[in-house]
Amino acid sequence: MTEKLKKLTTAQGDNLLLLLILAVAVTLVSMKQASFFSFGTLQSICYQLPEMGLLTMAMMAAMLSGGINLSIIASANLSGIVMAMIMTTYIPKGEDNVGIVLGAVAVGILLSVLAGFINGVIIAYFKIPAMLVTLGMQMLLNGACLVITKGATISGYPATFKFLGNGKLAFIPMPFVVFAIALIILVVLLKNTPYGPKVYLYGSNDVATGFSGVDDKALLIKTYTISGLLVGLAAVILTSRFNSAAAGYAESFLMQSILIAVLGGISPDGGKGKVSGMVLSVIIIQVVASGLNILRISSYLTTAVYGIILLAAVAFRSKKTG
Amino acid sequence: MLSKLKENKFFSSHEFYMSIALVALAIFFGIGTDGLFLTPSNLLNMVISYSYLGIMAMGMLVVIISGGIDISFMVTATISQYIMAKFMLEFAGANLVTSILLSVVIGVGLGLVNAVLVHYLKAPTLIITIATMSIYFGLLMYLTNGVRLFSFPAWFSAKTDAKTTGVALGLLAVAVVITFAIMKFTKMGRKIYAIGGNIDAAKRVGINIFLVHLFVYGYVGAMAALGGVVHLYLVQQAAPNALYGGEMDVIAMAVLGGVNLAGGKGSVGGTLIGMLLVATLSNGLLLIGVSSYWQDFFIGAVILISFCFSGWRNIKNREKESKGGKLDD
Amino acid sequence: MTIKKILAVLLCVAMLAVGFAGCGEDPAPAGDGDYEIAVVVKVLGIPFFNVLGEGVEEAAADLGVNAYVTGPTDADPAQQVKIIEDLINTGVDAIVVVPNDASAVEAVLDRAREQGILVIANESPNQAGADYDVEMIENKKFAEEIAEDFAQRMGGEGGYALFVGGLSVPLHNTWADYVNEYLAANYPDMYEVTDRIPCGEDSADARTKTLELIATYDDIKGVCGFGSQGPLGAAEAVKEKGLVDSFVVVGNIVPSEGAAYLAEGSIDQGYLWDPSDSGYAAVYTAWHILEGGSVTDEGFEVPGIGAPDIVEGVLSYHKPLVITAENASELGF
Repeated sequence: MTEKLKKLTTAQGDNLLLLLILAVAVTLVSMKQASFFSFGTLQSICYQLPEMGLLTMAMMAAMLSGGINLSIIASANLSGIVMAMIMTTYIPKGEDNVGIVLGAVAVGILLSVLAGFINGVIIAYFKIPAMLVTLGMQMLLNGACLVITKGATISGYPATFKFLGNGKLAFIPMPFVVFAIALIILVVLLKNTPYGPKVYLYGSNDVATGFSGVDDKALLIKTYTISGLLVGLAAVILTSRFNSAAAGYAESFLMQSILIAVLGGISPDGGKGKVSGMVLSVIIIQVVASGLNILRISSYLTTAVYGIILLAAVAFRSKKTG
Repeated sequence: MLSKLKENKFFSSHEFYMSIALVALAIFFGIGTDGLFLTPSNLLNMVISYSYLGIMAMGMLVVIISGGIDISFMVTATISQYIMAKFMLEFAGANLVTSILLSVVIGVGLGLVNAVLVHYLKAPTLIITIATMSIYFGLLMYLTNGVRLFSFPAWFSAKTDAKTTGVALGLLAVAVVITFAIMKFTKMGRKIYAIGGNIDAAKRVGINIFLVHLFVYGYVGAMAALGGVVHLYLVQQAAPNALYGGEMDVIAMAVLGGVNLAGGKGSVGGTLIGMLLVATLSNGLLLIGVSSYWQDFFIGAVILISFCFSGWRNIKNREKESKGGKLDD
Repeated sequence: MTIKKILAVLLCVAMLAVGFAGCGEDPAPAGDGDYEIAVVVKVLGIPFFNVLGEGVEEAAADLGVNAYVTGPTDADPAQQVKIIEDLINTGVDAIVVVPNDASAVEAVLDRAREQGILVIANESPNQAGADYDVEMIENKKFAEEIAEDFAQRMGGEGGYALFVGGLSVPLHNTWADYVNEYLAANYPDMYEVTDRIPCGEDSADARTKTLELIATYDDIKGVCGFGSQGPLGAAEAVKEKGLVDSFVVVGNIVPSEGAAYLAEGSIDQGYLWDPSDSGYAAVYTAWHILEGGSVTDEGFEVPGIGAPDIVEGVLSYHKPLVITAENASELGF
C-alpha cells in the first residue's frame, strides 16, 4: 500500500495526484451545485481561466530559472492603461478601427516585454535577486500607472478590442484561444528548443550551469522577457474583459499565481515544473474558487484557504525532495 | 590622502553612498521648498510619522541578514495591535507596560509560527510568509468583520506634542539600540550573520539553525508588534485592514540601507538611513508640490537605481577579489 | 497502458460523469420560493458596508427573502467581476452591486441580465448594465450642502485641501469636483492649496498628510475629507498642533468613530447617509420587482424611507445625514 502511495508521489505521479485532487474538488462542488458542468458554467470558466493561466505562466517562466516575478500585475496594468489610452485617444467613442486596435495591442504587449527585459538585465548584469528587482519594478510600474492615469480609470473600448476578451471563435471563447496558443508556444519552447533544458539546468544549479558554458546572462534575460510577453497577453485579455484599465487592479491575482504555480509542481527554487501540472493546477484553483463562492464562503476566508493550500502544496513538495 | 580615505571601510561602504544620497536629497528638497523641508518641526514630524515603519524595518533587517524574508509582518503588527486595543478597552487594570508587553508577546508568537514553518518546510521564506500572511489576514478580517476599535482610555489617548514625540522616537530608539546591540555584540547576532552568509558552513560549525530561526522570526514579530503600538498611538484607532499593503515601504527601507538579500550583510545604521530616505522622498515630494501620484514611481526608481549601483559595486568587488585586492564593504 | 494511465482515464471519466450529471438543468436554485438576492459591496470588512449589511438583513427578515452581502477583499473591480460571474453561474434571482468601477462591471452585468437576473446598482447612477440604481443622496446636492457648510465654517475665505478615498473612487471624486465648482462660484476667496489627496480611507495617512499640509501651507485653514477615515486622521493632526479651534475639519465619518472628535471640536461636522437605508431600499426594490411590481407603480415607496425621485432609472431618496456632536452617539452605527 505504501509502495503504491509512494508511486503516487514520485515526479511522474505528480499529474495523477493533481488529477485526483481535481476530481475530488469537482465532486464536492457538484454535490452542492448539481449542474456545475452545465454548458454555461463551462463557458464561464473558459472565460475566467485564461487570464489566471497566462499570469501563472508568466510566473512559472521566472520560477523555472530559480527566480520569481513580482511585477506581473503592475506590468499588466500599465500595458492595459497604455492600450486604453491609445484606443480612447485615437478612436472616437462608439466607433471602431481594427488597425489602431491592433496597434494598441502591439504597443501594450511590447511594453510588458520591455519591462520583462529590463528585469532580466538588472537581474543578470547586476546580480540582484529576482525577488528584489521585480519588487522594485512593481513599485515603479505601479507609480507609472498612477502618474499616467492620475488615479482615473480609462474605459470604453471599440468592438474589435472587446472581442478579444469577450468574443468567440467557433464556439470557443477568444481568451481561451489566446491561452491555448500561448500554452503551445511555451511547451514547444521548453521541450523542443535549447532554451528549455538550459533554463531547467540553471534553475537547479546556477553555478554549475554557468561553468558549463551556458551564457547565463542571456538565459536570464530571455526568461524574463518571455515572462513579460506572457504578461502582455494577459493584459490584453484582462483589459478587454474588464472593459477598463486603472492602477491597482487585480492585485490579489499575484498571490494566486504563486499559489497555482507551486501547487502545479513548479519548484520555487527552480529547475522543476511542467506545463501540464500548471494547467491542472489552474483548473483546480478555478474550481475551488467557484466552489467556495457557491458555498457563499466569505472572500476573506477564501484568502486564508488559499494560504493553507499554498502551505500544503509546499509541504507536500518538499517532502518529496527530502 | 585620498587613497587612504578610499581604503577606510566607512568611506567606501554602501552606507556612505546612501548617506550622500540622503544629504543630497535633503538639500534638494530644502532648496525646493525655500528651507521649509529643513525646519526642525517638519523634520521632527516626518521622523515621528515614519517611526513605526522604521521600527519594523529593524526587524526586517535582522530577517534579511539571516538570509530570509518575512512578508507577513504587517499582518502580525495588525493582529498584535488589535488584541492590545481590545485589552485596553476591556481591562480596567491595563496600563502602558502591560499593554505593550501583550502586544509584543503576540507578535513573537506569530513570528515563531513562521520560524517553525520556515525551518521544517524547506521552501523559500518568501512563499511561506506569503502563505502565513494570507492565512493571518484572512482569518483576522473574517473574525473581526473589519470592526475598528477606538476611544481608548485617557492614559493612552490624551496626546500632546511632547508625548507623541516621546513615544514615537523613544520606541524607535529602543528598537534601534536593541537591534544594534544584538547584531554587534551578541553571539546570536554573529550566528545570524553566519547563517545568512553561508548556511551550510554554519551548520558544519555546529550552529543550531532552528534556534536561530526561532529568534529571527520571533524578533521580526516583536518589532512588528512594537511598530504596531506606535502606529496605534499615532492614529488612536485599530483597524484590521489599515496596515495591510504597506509592506513595500519597510522592505524598501531595509533594501536601500544596503542589506543584501543573499544574506550575511546589513547594518542598523544603513537601515536607519534607508528609513530616512523613504521618509524624505515622500515628505519632500509632497512639500515641493509634486503630486502624490509620483511617489511610488520615484521610490521604485530610486530602489532600482540603488540596486544597479550596489550591484555594480559588488561586481567590482568580485573583480578585486579575483585580483587579490582589498574589498569594499 | 500502464496502471497510471488507466487510473488517469478512469478519473477523468468519473469527473465528467459527476460533473455533467446535472446537465441540462437550469442553474437557477431549486425554486423553493425564496428569492435569492446577492448584494455585492465594494469591499468587505469596512464599517460602512457592515452597516449596509444590517439593512440587508433587516429587509431579508421583513420580506422573507434570502438576501445577503458578499464582496471582495480589496476594493478591486477585477475581483468584483469574478464574484458576479460566479453568482451568475449559481443562479441568483437578483444582484445588487455597489461597484468599485462602473465600466468594469458593465459587461458582466449585461450577461447577468441576459440570464434573467435582475440587476440593481447602488452608488453608481447611470450604471450601464443595471436595471435600476438606488441612491440615498443626490450627489450634486450632497456635495453642495457640504461645500456651503464648509465655507461658512471657514468664514468664506482661505486655503483648503480635499481628501478622497482614492483617485479613482467615483463618488468621492465627483463630490470633490462639485465642491470645487461650488466654492469657485460662490466663495472666490477660498482656494485649494494643492491637488486632492488620496488618503481618505487611511487615518494614519490622513494624519501625516494633514501635518504636512499645515507645515507647508501657512494659509491652509480647513480640510474636507471624503472617505470615512480622512477626518479622523486630520483631527488627530489638528489636536497635536493645538489648532482645534482655528482649523476646520469636515467630511464623511462613521458617527460612532467620529463622536469623540465631534465632542471636543477637532471635527466640526460630519456628513453621510445611513448605509442601512441603502441596503434596505435596494433589497426592497429588488423584491418588489421580482414580485411582479414596477417602480412606477402608484404609491411605490420603501417602508421607513419614502418614495423615490425617479429620473431615467435612478431612484433617489435624498436622505443625507448631518452628524454633529449632539447626534453622533445616537445614530446607532
